Formats: sequence, structure tokens, C-alpha cells
Amino acid sequence: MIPRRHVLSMLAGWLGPALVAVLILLPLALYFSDFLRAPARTISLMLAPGELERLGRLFARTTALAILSATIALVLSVIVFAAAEPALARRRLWPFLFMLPLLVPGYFIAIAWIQWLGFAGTLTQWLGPAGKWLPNALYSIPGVALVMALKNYPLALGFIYIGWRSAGTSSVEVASVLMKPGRLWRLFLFGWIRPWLGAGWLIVLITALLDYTIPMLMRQHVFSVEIMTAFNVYYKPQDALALALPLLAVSLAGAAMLGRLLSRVEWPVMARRPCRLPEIGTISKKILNVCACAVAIGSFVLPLVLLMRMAGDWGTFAHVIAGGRDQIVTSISLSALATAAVLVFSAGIATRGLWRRGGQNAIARTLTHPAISAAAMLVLYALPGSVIAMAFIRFYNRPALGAIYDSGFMLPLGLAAVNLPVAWLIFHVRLSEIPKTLVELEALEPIPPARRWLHLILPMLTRPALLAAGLVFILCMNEVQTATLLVAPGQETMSVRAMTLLHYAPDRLVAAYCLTAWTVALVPVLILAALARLGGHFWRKLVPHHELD
Amino acid sequence: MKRYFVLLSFVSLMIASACRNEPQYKGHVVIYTALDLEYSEPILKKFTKETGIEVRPKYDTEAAKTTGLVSSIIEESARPRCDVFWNNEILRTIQLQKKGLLEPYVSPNAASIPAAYKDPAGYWTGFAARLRVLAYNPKLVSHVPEKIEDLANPAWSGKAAMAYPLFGTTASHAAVLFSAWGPERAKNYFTALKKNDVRIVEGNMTACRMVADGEVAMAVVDTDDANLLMSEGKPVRLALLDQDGSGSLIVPNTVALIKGGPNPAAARKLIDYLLSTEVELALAGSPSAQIPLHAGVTGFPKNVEELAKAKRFLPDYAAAADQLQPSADFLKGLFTRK
Repeated sequence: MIPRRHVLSMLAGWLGPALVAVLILLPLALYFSDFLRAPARTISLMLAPGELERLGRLFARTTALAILSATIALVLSVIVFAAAEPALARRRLWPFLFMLPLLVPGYFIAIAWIQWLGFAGTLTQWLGPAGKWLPNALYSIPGVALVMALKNYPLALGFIYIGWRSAGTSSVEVASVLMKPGRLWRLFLFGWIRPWLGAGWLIVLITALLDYTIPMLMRQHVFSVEIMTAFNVYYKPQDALALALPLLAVSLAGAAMLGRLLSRVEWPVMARRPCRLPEIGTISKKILNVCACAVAIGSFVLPLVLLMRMAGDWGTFAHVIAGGRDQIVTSISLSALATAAVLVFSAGIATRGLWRRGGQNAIARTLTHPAISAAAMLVLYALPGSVIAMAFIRFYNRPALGAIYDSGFMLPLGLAAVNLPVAWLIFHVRLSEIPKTLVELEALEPIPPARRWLHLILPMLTRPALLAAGLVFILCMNEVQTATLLVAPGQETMSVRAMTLLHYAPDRLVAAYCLTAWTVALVPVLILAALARLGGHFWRKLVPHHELD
Repeated sequence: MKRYFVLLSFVSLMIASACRNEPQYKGHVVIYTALDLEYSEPILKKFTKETGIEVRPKYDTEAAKTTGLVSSIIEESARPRCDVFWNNEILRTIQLQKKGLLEPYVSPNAASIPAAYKDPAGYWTGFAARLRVLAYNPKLVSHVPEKIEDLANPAWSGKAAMAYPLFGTTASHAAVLFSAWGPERAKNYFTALKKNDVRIVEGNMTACRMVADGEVAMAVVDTDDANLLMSEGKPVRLALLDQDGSGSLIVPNTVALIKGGPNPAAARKLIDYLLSTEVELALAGSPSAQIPLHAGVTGFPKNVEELAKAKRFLPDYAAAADQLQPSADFLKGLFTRK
């Protein structure tokens, strides 16, 4: 008979993955089995007269936009990295500022750029006849790709940052003696951190492929917009599926390449101080600084200033806050619930093997056999929010599961499914930092799960859990695609309301609403960050020399 | 371990915010409303204040147009969770009626609404209407078109816009033209529009904003779109179409009871409230300037009075609803988004 504590360990180990499998992956599998059951029906829809040509154009436009956007984002991130590298090392304000666009909703940036360069844009009007070309340029594929890149470049910057930490300090020191700075920088970018640059490009590519708000607001008909239209406007689930398949083919291919790339790289120890790269020439440095400032202005400062100017006086904000109190509370509650679910699910998956009792090599197994989890997370990351929402509606909207469908848990569940891979990646990166010596030691002398968790895993995971919680919370607050489809009556979120108001509300109200929504998303995270800092000080006073740091 | 308590406090914060105290209500009602949130929300809040019944609304989004809510009602038909459908137009409500998803209810407050705006069996009731009008930029248009067919005039080539005619009131307008003119004439008209390079955009408001921005000279929109931008001081004017002919198409809001909805008693109370003259006057006084349909209602703003005096094109709505699908099939092929 298996001892009860073994059963409990097993249950704890399988809880996260089982919940994800039943609540998230099963609805998705059943949705796609619709296609597998009758592939001819979906394929005939795709091959209908004129449809193949339309799909071809959509495919070309979507992929061109995503590739261009990813490339521009990569270039921007390299510029920002080169300009801000000393500041990055010292963790000053610059890195935080350059990461801010990641926390800004897509519609925020799109509205600001339309307000700046659109047909009635501030700059367009100011330039008069000389600025007539600006709106057409903004609404073109390169224009939209640039706006998307300004939103998404922090993803690529994050991977460059990780790659930078993977470069050995001694190698850089030796190389800096032997090589000129320019050559060393080339070697650094196109040699040492090339896989990370590739990963950054791929992650921006997938994000751009799935983006809905920026192309929708900037009148680019891409797959994500058409899928929403097919399902939500025409109510043709089969058409939506037929439209989703070509998009999934590209995004899954991108995700597979990303997974392959990330499985081959050596993840750095993030706590280690990064290498110091040689100084760039004065003129080049000045040019880089100007470019980096332009990126900061375009991605964050300009949207903020323009929206504040559009909003006008504080009275508009007071009106928005008074009228939108329910949405503020609902958004925070639902996003917090989704964040909690994401933390439980992702930590559960990332640490599944660490609950094992009695067996040896639990840590090694967790670190070296995440293939199924990684594949599931990559697939989830490559799915547009609309497809996840459609699968959930088809699965949960039935008499037997009606209680869940009506309960208001649908949206947190949908948001959790969309953001799960982000948190999983953070936990996975952190766990991969477990020293090899410990793994070898554990192979000889198994550690009891309680001890393993108390002395190793929990201390390691608290910091990434805080990071994941903050990031996922903001992403949930900003999410539009899934929220539009899954929002329950009476539970409208701020992002959904902002998108609703965009349609007809006065500009000042839309601007005030966007700014309020963003501030509301940031405040809990700033409180969290302040608490973390205070907690650190408090703990240092309590325990002057802590073993785990 | 130093950050455990921080994580714990965050989790507590999350749980506390998720378990917030709800105010006490005397029951609730779920409404799907396609009327713009800015106008419908104050009315629903007032209903809650007066009756103590909580209203749980689901609003129309820019992405979904009117049809998104209709799609939701169809999707949920096996187990409805919506009690009341407040549509900002009429044909999609009739479509739901034809699918057997509505339940008849004759509100006592609908007695003074003319029969032309009500279903004889009580499946839906119309109120507070808008007109389909031409919004134009006075800086770009010197001679304002008088008929809807004028948009096909080569003089306006590339200078006019309209919403994608597969959803919202533009789809209803197209179906009405198919029904009133006959399919051949309607097809020729839309083909002529296509040849005249009419800009097809996401929605009526987008088209109207393009007029205000000077991107196009004119657009066929609803009165509320033009009125809103006019009230903001944007360079937009409103012209009534076909006043020497059939008149401007009138599009009433409609309210209907969903068959098998979970809260029928509260739903009926809400329908009664929405069909009151008070609500019609509130909508008339809002920037959407909707025309009251109750007989004998007075005291609404001057601009609404002018709209109310316009010659109205009152089509056979049921016949037009039958043309929704055929017109959509044709227009989808014509205006496919490539």
C-alpha cells in the first residue's frame, strides 16, 4: 500500500498540471477536434471561390506586418541596449523607462499616434499641405509595423538583456584587450548573443502575429481582426476556425523555432553581475543616445503627453473615475483572480517533479524534462486570445457547465490561459539557475520534499513570483481580445470599456479613460514593488545575514 | 524567505479585492444592449436606483457592432443568460424573433407607440429612433447631395465613405434597400458605389470622424454619430436625404424579452421602464438626439424637433429582415476586405 504522504506529494505535484489540462487544454483540444472530425468542411470553406485569394492576401499582409514589426523592434532594442548598457548594469531608471511600453496597452499607443499623425493629427495639421502624406504613411503596413514595434520592442530588449548576462566576463575582458570596441560589439551582438537576438525577434514576431488592438485601430485587416469579426460579428464559428488555421500554422511554427532555440541556449544566472562592454565612440554614442531618446519618446512619452493633452482638465478624470468605479473594482478583482490562477498553474507546472517523495533526481528531472510542459506553454502562447475565448465559450456554454459559464470565472480563466506561458517562462528561467552541484548531490542523497521546498524552491521562487504577479496583473488589466468575448454581463473591464468608448465617446473622455485604466493597472504593481522593497529592508534588519541570499 | 510576507500580502490583497462586498439588490436582470454605453448606462443606473433591481449589462463594442450581441444570444440559446435585448436597430431583433429566441410581451407603456413600430404579436417594441442621414464636411462640400443615389455620382468619386454594410445600421439600411427597391436595383446601386470608390470603413462613427478630419467629404451615417461630432464643435453638418422622395430611413431602438431568460419578472419591469416616455426624453436630450416615438410627447430639444419633422421612410421591417442574408451575401462578395 502506498503511504498517505506519498499520495499527498503526488497530488500536490499533479495539481497544477491537472488543473491546466482540464480547465484550459481540454476545451482547446475539443475545439480543434471540430476541425479534425470534419476537416473537409473547414477546408472547403477555405477553398471557396475568392476565399483562397482573400486568405492569401490576409496571410501576406499579416506575415509582412509581423516580420517588419519584429525586425524594427529588434533594431530598436539593440539601439536602446547599446545606449543604455551602463545604466542597465546599475539598474537605474533608464531600464525601467525602456521596459514601460510593455506595460502600456496597445490601444494607448495606437490612439496617441493617430492623434499625432492621423488625418486630423496635431503634427499633420501643423504641417498643413506639407504633412498630407503623414496619415497615409501611418496607416500603411510600415507605419503600423513601427507602432507595433514601439509597443513590443521591450520583449526583444529583455532577451538581449538575458543574453548579455550569459556572456562570460572573462571572455569579454580578454576580447576587449585583443579587439577594437567596434569589432567586440559586432562579436557580442552577432556571435555571443545571436541566439538571444533570434529569440527576441521570434517572440516579437509571434506577439505581432496575434496582436489585435493596434491593427484594428489602424485599419489593417489581419487574421486576428478577421477571426474576431467572423466569430463575434457574423457568428460563424467554422469560418473563424478556417481563418485561425493559417495564422496558427505561422505562429506555431514561430513558437516551435523559439522553443528549439531556447532549449539549446545556456540560461544565465540572472543574479550575477553582467560583463562590462567597451565604450562606443563619442559620435556613435551621441547618435545612439538620440535614437534611444526618440524610442522612449515615441513609445511612451509622446502617448502619455498627447493623451493628457487630449483629456484636458482634471474634471474629465473625475468624471471617468466617478462613472467607472465599478469597472475599476471589477478589473482589479478579475485581474487579481487571473493572476492568482496563473501563479498557481505556472508554479505547479514548473515545479511538478519537485514534489516527488522517495525517488532520486527530482530536481534533475524537473530541470531536464520539461518538454511536454514547454510544448504546451508554447502552443498556448502561439494561440490568439480570440481562439482561446471561442474554445472556452464552446466548451463551457453547456447545461452541465453552466454554473461556471455564468459565474464570472470565465474571464479570469481566459486571462489565465493567455498569460500562463509568461509566468511559466519566468519560473522556468529561475529554476534553471539551480546549481549543477546541487543536482548531482541530490542524485546521491535524495532531499525530502518539505526540506527541498522550504530551503530551496520557495526562496528561489518568491522573487520571480512577485515579478510574474506584477507583469501578469498588468497584462490582464490591458487585455482586450479575450476580455471582449468572455466578459460576463455586468462585469465589464476597463480595457473593454475603453475599446467600447473609442467608438463614439468624445476624444477627451477616451483619453482620460485610457490614462485612468493604465494608472489603475500600475498602482497595485507599484504598491507591490514598494512592499517588496520595504520587505527586503525589514528582513535585513530581522535577519542580518541570510543564508539564502 | 525574506519576501514571503510580501507575496502573502499581495495574495491577501487579491483575495480581498476579489471578495468585495456587493450591495444588496432586490434581484437582478441581464440586459444585452447595442445602444452606445454613454447613453444607455445612465438609464440603466436610474432603473436600478428606482426599483432596487440590479442591472447586469453587456454592451456592444466597436469590434462586435450590433451583431456581436445577437451572436451571443444565438450562441447561448440552449441556455439563455440574457433577459432583455435592447437593440439600437430593428432588423436583427426580427431575425432573433424568426429564430424563435424571443418571447412576446406587450408592455402597458407601449400603448401610445404607433403600431408601425411594434410587432403585432408583441415580440418586440420600437422606441427612440434615429434617421439615416448624410454627414458632410462644409469645408469640402458646397452642393450637398439630396438623394442617396447621389453618392454614386462620379463627382463624389473617392470622396464618400460608409460603414462596412455587413453589420450595424448600415447592414439594415442595405437590407431595406434590397427589400424596397428590389434586389436588382439595390445590387446596381451598390455596384455603382463600389465603382465610385466609396471608402468602406469599420463603423458609422469611424466614417463620421473621417468626415470631420477631412479625410472624406461625406458619409452615410446615423443621426447620433453626426450630432455627437457637431456637439463637439467638429466641422460636420447633417443633411436629410430623399426628402422629396421616400424620406430618410427611420431606425428605431427595439426592446425584446428573451425566451427562457432566467429573470422574466425583472425583465418585464425593465422593458416597461425602457418604454416609458421618461427614457425617450432622456435619449432625446442626450447628444445622440433620438426621436421619441410615443404619441403626444413634447418638450424635447430643438434639434430633435427638426429631425422629428423630417419626412420618414418607414419600410416593411419584416420584409427587410428577410433580405438581411441575401444582401449580406451579395455585399460580402462586392466589398470583401482584401
